[in-house]
Amino acid sequence: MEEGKDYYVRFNWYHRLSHFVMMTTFIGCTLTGPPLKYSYDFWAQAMMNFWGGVHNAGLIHRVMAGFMVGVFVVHAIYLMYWVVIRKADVFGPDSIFFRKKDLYDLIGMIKWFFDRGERPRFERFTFWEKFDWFAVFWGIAMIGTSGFALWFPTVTGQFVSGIFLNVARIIHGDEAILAIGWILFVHLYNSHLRMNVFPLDPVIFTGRMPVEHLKHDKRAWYDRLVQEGKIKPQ
Amino acid sequence: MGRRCAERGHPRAGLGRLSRLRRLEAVLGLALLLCLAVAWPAAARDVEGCLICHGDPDFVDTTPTEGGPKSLYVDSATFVESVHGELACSACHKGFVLTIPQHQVDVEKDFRQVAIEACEACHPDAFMSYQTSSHAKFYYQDEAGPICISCHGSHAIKRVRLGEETAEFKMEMARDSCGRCHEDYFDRARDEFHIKALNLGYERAATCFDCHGYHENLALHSGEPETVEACRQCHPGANAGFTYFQMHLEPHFLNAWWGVRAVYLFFSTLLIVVLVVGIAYTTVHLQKETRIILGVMGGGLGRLFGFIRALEEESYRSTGESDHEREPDKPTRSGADEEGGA
Ligand code: HEC
Ligand code: HEC
Ligand code: HEC
Ligand code: HEC
Ligand code: HEC
Ligand code: HEC
Ligand code: HEC
Repeated sequence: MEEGKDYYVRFNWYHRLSHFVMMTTFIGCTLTGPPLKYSYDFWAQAMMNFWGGVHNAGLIHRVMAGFMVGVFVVHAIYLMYWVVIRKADVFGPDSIFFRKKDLYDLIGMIKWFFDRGERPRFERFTFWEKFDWFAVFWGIAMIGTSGFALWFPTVTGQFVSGIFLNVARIIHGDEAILAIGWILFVHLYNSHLRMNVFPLDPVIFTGRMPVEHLKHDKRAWYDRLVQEGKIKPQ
Repeated sequence: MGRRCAERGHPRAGLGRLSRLRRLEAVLGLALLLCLAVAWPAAARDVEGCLICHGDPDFVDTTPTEGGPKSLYVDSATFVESVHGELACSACHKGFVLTIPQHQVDVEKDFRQVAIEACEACHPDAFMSYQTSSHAKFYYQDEAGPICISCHGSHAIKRVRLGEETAEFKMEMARDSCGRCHEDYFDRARDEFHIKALNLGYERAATCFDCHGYHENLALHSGEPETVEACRQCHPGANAGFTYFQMHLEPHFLNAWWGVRAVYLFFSTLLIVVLVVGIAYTTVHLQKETRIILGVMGGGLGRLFGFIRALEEESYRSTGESDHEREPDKPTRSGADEEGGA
């Protein structure tokens, strides 16, 4: 980046740390899980050997999963803190929860794609960022629960019929593929390959977003920040 | 029983049936044999003697049979390496005594039965537990059931290490031994955790005989005490509910409880729909922002690279231009820029 630019700190250390841990553990699980699912494919054995066998891969998978669920739990507490103690406006412009504007933004985006209108003026979080955030909740709920069920199969057997272990395996596998596909084809594109950030958007690691970029990308938020005097207008 | 038929000659193995070359070989062999018969200790003599003829890889029985010509070749190297490498051939082939010029073949009885009896003589315990299995029952009914040699083979029997089997051995057992006859059950088990893990070398996972017993071959049923016991070997906390886990579900769970099929259908659909929508959206977005997709299709990669270079140069340089004001050919940054300029 060029010198003398103005930056706005979009992500604080907690956001960055969460994302980093989430990212590393996700990659860890992605590299250790699928070889078992696709056991008979030619690459599976090589990948398992890389980890030093199924046992080690399983161990890494579990450690990674543990941290991932940890991030999830801490995040839940963080949200509670904002909602309950800080009384944040859950459906306000700064919130990551879905709100009505996101639907309009989606429609606006599609119109823009086909040259039928202006690019929507996004607030702090675009709807696809919100979706990625929400997807993690869904994913962890599904993959995490089924994963723990398979991790302790006999404990699961104490509570429900063993057939739910078959069910858990279906969910665990399908959702994992969904998550991997989504991250690879949608999330990575949306956050790094878009024109104004290509080839890599460091904001999630540095937390600092050039105001210039902010202005292009999230106009409504930019305007609001300028109004609140938090950034100098460009 | 060997003795019973010992008087009978080798019925079909007259040297006359062998080719001229073979005949010559056999005669030379017999000459050698005579020398050996004098000089070698009994067991070694038996093996070496039999291998004079049976050690030839091209040695086939030309008698027309259903399966075509049958190889009578015995690979001495693998035999010597097998657990029975020290035994004489006639330890198992009881009817066969090295007589000259030809040996005896027991035609009275099916050799399969002879084989069981031979194995039984030295492995009574294994025989007893085999005897309780439905395999034995089935064998005695109509001979389609497996006998000792169906699972162990005959001349290359390897040492068994109960509880210390390698994953390769377990996988081989599942695929090539049990799976040979129970193809359907193997196909149903191969997509399940235990067999998949075995396939990748995880020796602690269960193969067919870990659950079903290796000679008893229990027919397991969910919820029953034997099944609980079977699982408890490795899952100490197993209870009856746990055993309702289904080991043998068909691909796509066609034979499963409807709940499993419903979940499978739901999540597979979800997977496809979400990914298709997500990727479609992303592709259109990519096209809008970069004009890459149609660009590449229409104008080749050169434009793409030129475009990326232009992009780098332009990065974060706010311009007042909009799409329309540029030369029509030049790829543009569009979108964000338009707004920037606005
Ligand atoms: C002179 C050569 C020769 C020698 C030595 C010899 N065999 Fe054979 N063997 C044959 C021939 C030929 C056949 C084919 C017989 C037939 O199918 O009619 C045969 C067949 C057999 C069969 C298979 C029968 C079947 O159809 O399944 C066995 C088992 C056998 N021999 C074991 C032995 C044993 C054990 C020895 C050593 C004690 C031995 N043979 C030594 C020539 C020999
Ligand atoms: C552990 C017992 C055992 C020993 C020892 C043994 N065999 Fe066999 N052999 C068998 C059995 C069982 C069969 C039947 C295999 C079948 O039907 O698939 C057999 C089959 C054969 C056959 C028929 C061809 C075939 O492969 O099916 C020949 C020939 C033969 N044996 C030769 C020998 C010779 C020679 C030796 C000594 C080097 C020997 N056997 C040692 C158990 C033994
Ligand atoms: C003459 C006696 C004899 C006959 C007949 C015999 N075996 Fe064996 N078998 C042995 C001996 C001895 C061992 C080696 C045991 C050891 O070293 O622990 C052995 C080992 C084995 C083993 C490996 C056991 C282990 O603990 O590693 C298997 C499996 C086996 N035999 C199967 C068979 C089968 C199948 C047959 C019939 C085709 C058969 N045996 C016929 C004597 C015999
Ligand atoms: C359905 C397949 C099957 C049949 C039939 C079978 N076995 Fe086995 N056998 C096995 C397996 C599997 C093992 C265990 C291998 C292991 O755990 O490594 C085994 C182990 C053995 C052992 C060593 C362990 C012990 O219990 O001593 C012997 C000896 C043995 N079998 C002999 C026989 C004899 C004799 C027969 C025929 C009466 C026979 N087997 C029939 C599959 C079979
Ligand atoms: C030579 C073929 C053959 C081999 C090898 C074989 N089986 Fe079987 N098995 C049979 C036959 C035939 C039946 C009876 C068919 C039926 O009931 O459908 C049977 C039945 C069974 C049953 C059901 C028993 C019942 O009472 O319904 C089980 C379980 C089983 N086998 C397990 C095994 C295992 C485990 C192995 C490997 C160690 C094995 N089989 C190897 C042929 C084989
Ligand atoms: C984790 C334990 C486990 C493993 C491993 C396993 N099975 Fe089973 N098997 C079972 C259970 C439990 C049942 C009974 C419930 C069912 O039908 O799913 C069963 C049922 C069967 C039956 C049907 C028995 C009947 O009553 O008709 C056969 C045959 C069978 N298995 C063969 C195999 C073969 C072959 C393999 C190896 C590829 C294998 N099994 C591996 C647990 C196992
Ligand atoms: C030879 C040992 C052995 C036997 C017998 C065995 N299992 Fe397992 N099983 C394992 C091992 C090892 C694991 C992996 C444990 C882990 O790493 O968490 C496992 C994992 C599982 C899982 C979790 C699977 C997954 O997809 O992650 C289930 C469910 C299960 N076993 C069911 C059974 C049932 C039901 C039986 C009895 C019919 C059984 N097992 C018998 C060794 C065995």
